[in-house]
Amino acid sequence: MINSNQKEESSKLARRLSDAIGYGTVAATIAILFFFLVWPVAIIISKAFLNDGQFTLDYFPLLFANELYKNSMINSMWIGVATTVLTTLVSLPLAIINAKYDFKGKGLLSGLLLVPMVMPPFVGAIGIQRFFARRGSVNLGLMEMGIIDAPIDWLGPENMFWAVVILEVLHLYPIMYLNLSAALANIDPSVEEMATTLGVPRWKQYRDIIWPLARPGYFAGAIIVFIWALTDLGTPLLVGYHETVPVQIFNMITDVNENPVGYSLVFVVILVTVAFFLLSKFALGNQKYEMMAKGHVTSSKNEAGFLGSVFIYTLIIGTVFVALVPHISVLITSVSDKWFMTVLPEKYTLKYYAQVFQAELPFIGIKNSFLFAGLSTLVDLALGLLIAYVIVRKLVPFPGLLDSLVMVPLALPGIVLAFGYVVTYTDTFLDPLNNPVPLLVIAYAIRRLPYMVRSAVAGLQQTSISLEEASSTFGASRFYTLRKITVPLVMANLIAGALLCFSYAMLDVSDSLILAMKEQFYPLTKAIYVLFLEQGSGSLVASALGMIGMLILTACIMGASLILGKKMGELFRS
Amino acid sequence: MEVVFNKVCKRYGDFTAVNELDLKIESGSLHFLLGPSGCGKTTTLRMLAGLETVTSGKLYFDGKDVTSLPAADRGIGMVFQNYALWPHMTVYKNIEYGLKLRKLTASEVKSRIDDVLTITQLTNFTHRLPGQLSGGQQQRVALARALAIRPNVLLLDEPLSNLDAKLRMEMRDNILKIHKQTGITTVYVTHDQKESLSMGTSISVMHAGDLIQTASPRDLYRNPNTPFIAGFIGETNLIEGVVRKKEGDIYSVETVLGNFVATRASGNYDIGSKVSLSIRPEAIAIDWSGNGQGDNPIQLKVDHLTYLGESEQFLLKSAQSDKQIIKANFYHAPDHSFSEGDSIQCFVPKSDVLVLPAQVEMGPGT
Amino acid sequence: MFLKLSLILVTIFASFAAYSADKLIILSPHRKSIQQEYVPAFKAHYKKAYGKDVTVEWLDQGGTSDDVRFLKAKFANNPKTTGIDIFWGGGSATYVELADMGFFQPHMPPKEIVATIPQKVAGVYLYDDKRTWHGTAMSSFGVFYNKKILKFDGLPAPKTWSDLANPKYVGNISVADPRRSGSSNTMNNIILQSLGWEKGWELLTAMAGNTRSFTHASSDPIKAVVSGDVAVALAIDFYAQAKIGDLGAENLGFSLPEGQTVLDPDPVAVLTGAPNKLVAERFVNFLLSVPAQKLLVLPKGHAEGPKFASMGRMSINQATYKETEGQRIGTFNPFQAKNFLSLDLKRATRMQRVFNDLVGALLIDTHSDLKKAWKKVIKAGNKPEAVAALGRPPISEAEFLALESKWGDDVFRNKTINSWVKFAKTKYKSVK
Repeated sequence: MINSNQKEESSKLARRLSDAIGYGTVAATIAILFFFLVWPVAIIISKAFLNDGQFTLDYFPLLFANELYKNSMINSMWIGVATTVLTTLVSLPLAIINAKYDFKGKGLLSGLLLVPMVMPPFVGAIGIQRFFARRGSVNLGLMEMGIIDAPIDWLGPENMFWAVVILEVLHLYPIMYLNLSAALANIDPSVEEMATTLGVPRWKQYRDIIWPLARPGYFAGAIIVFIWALTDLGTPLLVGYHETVPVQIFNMITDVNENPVGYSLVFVVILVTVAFFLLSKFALGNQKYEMMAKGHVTSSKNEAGFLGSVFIYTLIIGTVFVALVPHISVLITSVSDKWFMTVLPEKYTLKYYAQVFQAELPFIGIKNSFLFAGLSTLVDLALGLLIAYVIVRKLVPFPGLLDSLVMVPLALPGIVLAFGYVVTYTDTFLDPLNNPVPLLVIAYAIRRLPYMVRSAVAGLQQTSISLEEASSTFGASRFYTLRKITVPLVMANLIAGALLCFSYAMLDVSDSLILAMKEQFYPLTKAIYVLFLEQGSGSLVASALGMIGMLILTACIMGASLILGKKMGELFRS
Repeated sequence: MEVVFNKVCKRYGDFTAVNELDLKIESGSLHFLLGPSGCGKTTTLRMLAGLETVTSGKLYFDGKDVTSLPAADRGIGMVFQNYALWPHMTVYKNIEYGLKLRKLTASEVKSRIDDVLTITQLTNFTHRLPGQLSGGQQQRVALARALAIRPNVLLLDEPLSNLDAKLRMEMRDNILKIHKQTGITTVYVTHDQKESLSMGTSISVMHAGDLIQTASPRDLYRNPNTPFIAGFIGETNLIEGVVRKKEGDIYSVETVLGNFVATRASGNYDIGSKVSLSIRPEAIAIDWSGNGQGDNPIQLKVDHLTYLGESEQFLLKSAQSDKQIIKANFYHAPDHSFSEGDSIQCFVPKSDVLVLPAQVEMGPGT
Repeated sequence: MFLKLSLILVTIFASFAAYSADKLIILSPHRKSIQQEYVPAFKAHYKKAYGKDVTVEWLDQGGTSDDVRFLKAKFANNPKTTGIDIFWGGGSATYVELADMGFFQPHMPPKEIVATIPQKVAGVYLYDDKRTWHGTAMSSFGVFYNKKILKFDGLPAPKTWSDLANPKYVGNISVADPRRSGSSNTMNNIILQSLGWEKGWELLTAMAGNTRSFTHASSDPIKAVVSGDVAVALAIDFYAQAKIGDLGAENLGFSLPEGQTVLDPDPVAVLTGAPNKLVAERFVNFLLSVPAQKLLVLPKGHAEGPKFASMGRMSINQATYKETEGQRIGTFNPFQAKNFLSLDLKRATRMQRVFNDLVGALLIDTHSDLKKAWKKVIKAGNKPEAVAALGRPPISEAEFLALESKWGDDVFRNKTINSWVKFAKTKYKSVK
């Protein structure tokens, strides 16, 4: 009896310790958010409220009085809406196919669908221009075939809006697809079987049963896609669509004589983002539909028949092909010896690849990118999971506030966070001048945190809380339960989130340019940038390096998506 | 372990889920929390488990205040309504989980798992995942998992509600057997009054957040406190009336069906007070003589009858009131059968008429 | 054991030696090709001239405006020093502004160098009065064109800036945003200075009407020409020459507009509080010296030329031209050029902040409206009075000059910008 009492005491102590560590980690997480998100950003954004050192609110009425900014806001809003709608239309069928059908080569094709999200920065623009310039390959080809007489101005003023939207959709649909797939995989097929036995028609099942259950996952993807499209700078710059919010912000805050109205516009964008997030959260994602019966799941995959397979193959390969057009053009660029005003290059060469392998910089870049992106993904996993857990289980007052806060990095122009770090941590032990690695890893992690949090939140919302309660009745501390029960259950969501975090961290631009100041710390993207700037064939060597980076990243993504597929299988389809 | 609730309340904003609950659960008993859904019984169980905080009041285990003790420290075992089996762990791992947290020796873990596997007849399923088990098997894993840690108190939240009727019967016997073997104080939440009557040592009936009565099954059936319990535990006929005469324990109550004499009452009722009379269907007897002998004679007409094999269930109407429908169970007379529209002369022994407080309008949730 | 010990000793010694070597920290938006030529050359020169090794740390944040922002943050944090020695590269206007803010310390190079570099050449300042900065190279800004497209569309190659206002080129020109490109900005200033305020704006507006897009990066217009999106781009000489070298003179061409050539120096300065001031000054001296200048003008393969790639830029050192006669890549010698317009650099720099906002409001941020209006003007026969009306600025030159002192008030500044945007939009929409 004494023995058992002692044991009980010691296990109680262990539990207290574990809880203390757990809550300590949560506190540390929130501290990290404060020191590496709230504070540096606040320092920069405070410029929106200062005129010559004096507090002012005058910039805001001025902002809204300017027709240019008003138009930009309207345009950006429509880009966001159109991109979200189209992305949904593209990814929904793909996700359903992934969740419901088995066919040959599924793992490979599912992985292939994710490849378009990998677009090496800077060189992508050349690729698109190569193809869609007025006398670019597409028009030249069409004219040679006699289909058109005069060049079509694909990227001209009339088409700019849709050019931006289409490029965004092709780039962003994997985010939606990943989130939807994870959500659909979490749905207990018995609810559908039930509906089938009740004679509910298939489309009605999707509308009335599958859709409400998959909503948290859809929401997780849609909100990211929407905010991304709303705040993305690269694509409108590439197309030259300047009457958009991100371009206007960029113009104002990177002007040699920066205009504080730019920061007030950033502030407005943050507010709009948070408002949209909260609004759609209440409208779409807030209902929790836990899968009570998770664990009873038996396989419900249909074997796709011959016609079905043909359809599926056509759909997937078609989507991937269209989405990969910019990549293909970069590929062709990188092996072109001489390419001038012809549909395809006159001669091909591998010399730019040789140049990449001869130089030291590409190796430094690839090594650094793997290191930084890998570390930042680990940070994201830890932070994202804890934050999502704290939000979903409401362990802090105002979880909605925390939830909105972690969405803010999506809305921030890259330069704001990076430069916030420079200002905040200059002449401290974190000074990027000495060693930027800690700040780079944190910057990468903070910027991609929203993907992880959304993914984990969706997973947690779909997991019945009674599974955790059961664990606590057995004497497990909250964080032991988190480790042993919760994490394995949301593993698919975590892997999906990590995949996004890692890929986009590998492609990070602003933080890499600003924080990695010495060559030994250059990540891949900055290496591409440095090569890209070189006169002469610099952009071709940069394309070659971009392709190499893309191939490596593609291999990682394919591998991860295979594991992901397996995980989903292990967990939910036993 | 003895469990005591002392004025325990649970409020969610304005809504009171459990109101000033006072209850003592004897050590080693199989105690039932019974009530319709939404009555607060699951909330009570969850407060007992430590999964729900107590708004006010105190909770004691063997005299020790555990009100603010987290679930993990209470040493309870719980079987959830949906079983809450961890889908990523095998049956064996599910059971092992709680034991590992107790820092037991490997051999002790092994022997305890073997024990509960034997008790629950799961020995052949140790390496299956929950998804590969039938409902009954899952239920047994949940039970085995809770029992393995040798809890102070075993909490069962509607453990049989997901099972079919036959399996339910089997599992009732199983649970009773296990309870007898282990002697663990067990609190069992159900809305199924038959389950509670057939299994429980004692039963607490809850309604709209209030605990109305705690008693042994027999007592509860015989002497319910309120018309609600009378109606909820088994079947009964409730007839409104007014006390007209009272001589010692003998009441005379005027109703739409005429005067009834009753010798049992749930309390003391003054002349003129409104009351409800509870008459169990099986208490109504046929006066074969047909001339109004016996206590409380009453003339009834067959409105509808249901053949049940060994007996027949009658819905009867009285000559006096069309509205009052009387239920009665009659065993077959050797050579007589009734059909709808027939008149029957009945009587009700006065010791089978129970005087209860007048029915109040039921709030939502009934 | 002994081996190990000696290894440790060697390591310690080596690290000590490294520690004792002189050090130089450079912040520069210059590309790698410049870094990889100059850093080894400087190291070799240092060893030879001073008998010591020097380690060079090269920092970069991506672009001039990023580097400037970084310097400002550093000085705001500690006005005494940034911990950096040298800032190299970016437009001269940036250096004039930063010098005003006290970011640089003056440096007088040795006599033999001073003797070979005048303060001004071809209208361009090579150092300021206090010698807080020195130009280290020059580049010219001209017209880069795609001969195939010109042929397709039956267009002549433009010869002057005014040619670019010709409606023939509508939609066929790509220009870097003058707010981000020093050369683009200098061109605007030169046009305004040579034509006068009213006529200057008329030309700038018509040119902007012809422009397909104002790009963010100064290298983008070149890419637009190469990929076949436009026929003509305004570009810096050595970028254009590099492309012509790659893709052939039969396909691409480059010319400097006569009499209005835009030249830009590429300055260097020693930062205030430079931790290695002496090394920094030696670096500046080296950059200005003939051996370093030869790297700019000589082709790759020449014994004194660059090791990795030809740069094809212009030297600022007269002696360099003498010593490289007949061996240079470019034939152009600014020291012999005539008819140069001398840009009032101080005024241009002083007004740059206001000018950027005015150009933004009138030409770039309202570009889509301007293009539509311009097309209507062309359709209506390109009448001189219509062109004049389209190019009418919202303020006179005197009013413009008076704004500079008020531009620190960001509320006033944005009120004014808003009124300009409104003015421009109304003006462009009123074209029938």
